[in-house]
Amino acid sequence: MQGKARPKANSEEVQRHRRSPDPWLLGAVVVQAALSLLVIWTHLHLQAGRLAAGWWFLTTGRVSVSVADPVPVQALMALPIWLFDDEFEVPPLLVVDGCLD
Amino acid sequence: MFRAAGRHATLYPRLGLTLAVPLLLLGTLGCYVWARELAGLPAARVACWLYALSPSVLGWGPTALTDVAAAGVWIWTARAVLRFWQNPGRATAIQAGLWAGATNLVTFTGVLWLLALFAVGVVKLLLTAVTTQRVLYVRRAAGFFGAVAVAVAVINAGWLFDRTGFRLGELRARSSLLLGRPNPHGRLQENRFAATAFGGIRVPLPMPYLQGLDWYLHNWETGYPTYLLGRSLEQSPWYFLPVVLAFKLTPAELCLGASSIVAMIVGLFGARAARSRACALFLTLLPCLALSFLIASGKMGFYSQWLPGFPFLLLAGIFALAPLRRFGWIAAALVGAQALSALATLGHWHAYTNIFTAGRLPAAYVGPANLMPNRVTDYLYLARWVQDLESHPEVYIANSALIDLELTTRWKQTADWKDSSELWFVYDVANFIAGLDRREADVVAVIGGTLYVVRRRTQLVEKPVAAHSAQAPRR
Repeated sequence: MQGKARPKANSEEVQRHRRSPDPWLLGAVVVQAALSLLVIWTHLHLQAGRLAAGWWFLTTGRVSVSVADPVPVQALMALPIWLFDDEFEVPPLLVVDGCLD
Repeated sequence: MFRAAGRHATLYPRLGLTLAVPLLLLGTLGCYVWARELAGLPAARVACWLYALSPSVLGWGPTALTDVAAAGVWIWTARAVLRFWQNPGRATAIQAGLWAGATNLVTFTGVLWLLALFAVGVVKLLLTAVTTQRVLYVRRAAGFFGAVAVAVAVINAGWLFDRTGFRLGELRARSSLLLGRPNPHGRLQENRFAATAFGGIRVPLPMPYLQGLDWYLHNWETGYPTYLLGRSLEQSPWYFLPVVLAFKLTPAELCLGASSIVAMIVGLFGARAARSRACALFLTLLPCLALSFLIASGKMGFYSQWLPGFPFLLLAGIFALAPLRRFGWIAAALVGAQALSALATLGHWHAYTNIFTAGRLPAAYVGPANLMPNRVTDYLYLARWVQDLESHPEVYIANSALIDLELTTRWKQTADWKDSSELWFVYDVANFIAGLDRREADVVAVIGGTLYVVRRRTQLVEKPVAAHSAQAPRR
């Protein structure tokens, strides 16, 4: 009984297979992104979730997020304010002092 | 780093944190790619799912802290640098430099991890010195310095060339290393080189980057107060990290850690390292990395600081288990257990303690050791605790680092506070230890191991108790 012939090493089928992403990896990425967004967009909102408890306190007035490492990548997070709010004074992105939290 | 107010109070943080998610996903991709190279496709699939479902990653990823983002960048950096050590060339050197520079843009601790990678290169050089020709030495050295140059360029670009080329003497420092003398209060002073010939040397790095490293070093030298195994400590002890990992890793992650240790003991790693240079380099990296994380943790004691090491625990464990005959079943069990851990803790991933310790120890032990960032969870306990009380005076948060400076004005604006009224203030342990006399403090409760509720009679106008406050929630 003859088995199914294997495709040649550089055949179009093999190339197509190599180009297509692994569905297992895609699944993991999608699930992780969804769960992360769930935290951010739902649980982070006032009393909506248990994780939000800390934010509940903070958002009774204003929100301030200070960071452990005041590194440039944090500029990503300041971007929405920078872009959309003219009234808002965004501290210099590369502040070192006062971010001990 | 950023502030939001009014109607944007929750929108901006959410938008900002959403932008951090791609960095979070880098780690998943990195686990997949590297595990595939080391142990094959099935191992890669298991690695990416274990990483994606880890409560630690899910809890810390969408926060303003950069530790999980650093994990995502760091795994690619380590891979790129090891590829360079394995095959020194122009392309690998540029890639290593780009990723090394990127790591330094995400966290200051990255410097120490890069030293671990450097150590791997030295080990490899020593082991191959007998057989290597001189021309290869030259090639490696040229590639190494090229990679460093690329990394320096990336760091400069990331900091927008802010005062690049400043004179060393101009840097005002905090750390003992740069001052040459103890500086427990962290005051900025002239550095030790300012009055010497070295002070005139121009530094090819942005000044804020060096200031940040100095700031980090100062914190490392002085340490942070912590709460561990039921005790408040002025500084984190050396065993902080192992203890916290025992509490915080999921059962699946503990299995992987145990597997890699067993594999190391019985010599499986050695046998497998002999099969390929890539495996050998990866396994050489593990002890160097473990040491660098222990050193980086130092007296500071942050669980989240360890997160960039997390992918390596996964990879080492999977690398040890992948050749087993029943790996398919083992993988299914691991991923299933990890999914259950994630679902069971949905919404309070920060608080995750594994099923072996949660509920079996006194409450003070269950929430150990995650002093600063885990406050989010501790505030949850605080909120519940306050809500369960039949009556209580006003509760105010007095954590100086968390609350916006602008809130200080509330002290004056709140007209109905009376000087003689009894109020409860919530301090985290760091501020409690630093700012209050513990012998005299009237502690009402300790919440989650890190929040101290203190009863005080206030003299708000004349003598503010803390720099900042916020009103506590009401039912």
